[in-house]
Amino acid sequence: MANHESTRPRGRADGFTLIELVIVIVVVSVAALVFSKMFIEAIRSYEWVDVEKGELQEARYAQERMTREFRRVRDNVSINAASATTFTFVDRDAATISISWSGVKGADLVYTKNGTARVLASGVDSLAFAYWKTNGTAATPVLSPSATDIWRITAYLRLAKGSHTVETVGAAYVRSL
Amino acid sequence: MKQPGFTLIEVVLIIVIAGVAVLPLSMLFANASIRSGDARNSTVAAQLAQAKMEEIAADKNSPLRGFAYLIAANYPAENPVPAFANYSRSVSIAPDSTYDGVTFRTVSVTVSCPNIAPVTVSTWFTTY
Repeated sequence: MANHESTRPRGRADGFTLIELVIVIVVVSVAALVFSKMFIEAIRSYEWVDVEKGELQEARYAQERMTREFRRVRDNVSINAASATTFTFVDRDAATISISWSGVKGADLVYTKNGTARVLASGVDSLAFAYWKTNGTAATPVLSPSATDIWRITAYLRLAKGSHTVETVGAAYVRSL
Repeated sequence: MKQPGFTLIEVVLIIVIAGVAVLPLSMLFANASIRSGDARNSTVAAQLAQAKMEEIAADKNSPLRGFAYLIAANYPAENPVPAFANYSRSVSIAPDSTYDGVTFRTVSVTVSCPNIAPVTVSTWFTTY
């Protein structure tokens, strides 16, 4: 009676076989794996660029600020201390300014105005102030307030955070000295 | 009888095209992180040029040196710049010009670093 309608049992629709389904799942998951790797890489690269950018900005700001401060020295008897990591002086407004780093890797670069401290940059790996005379040779570091032969000041700053390192340099020819 | 569906050739073509399309996308991200170093290099190059120019200005105003000291022989090229391994710096001084009785000298400082265009800073120094 019904056995010549179809070779297939009644009610069974066309569909995917198990094999086909497994293949699709495998292909889709492989594709997802490749794309997710790419996305993770993209996010990681964005994070890296972001940290790098922030650090460069911090170093630039600190460097620029130091150079500007150097130019504000009142006169050639206003430098109280000048060493490789500390520079203390009296500025044109008679304020006592100090820029210093403790020498401990990772410590802050500190700017002090009349005793109030502010952080210029964090994570300092190296700081080196150098002082030069009118004839271009190294000037004597100042240990106590006295007439100085400093004519030009250079600053080298290196910040390090994790795998990020930024080095900057600045120089100031101080007109008031 | 032939079954409807993709032939092997078609499938291979699709895979190749998809692969070619994905490759530049991934390269885009890689390039972005490599290029991020350029901003840093340009910043440092500009700072090195400015620092040298400040040194030349200090020499020009120095009672021991003055305008006559600004000659090429006193500013040899630095390759590399001390403490900055990948950077080289040179100073070029053009012949003097006179304007309205004032002699002036054009001084240029050029800093080069791989991957970025050289940075040049120029200024005039007068006998004043």
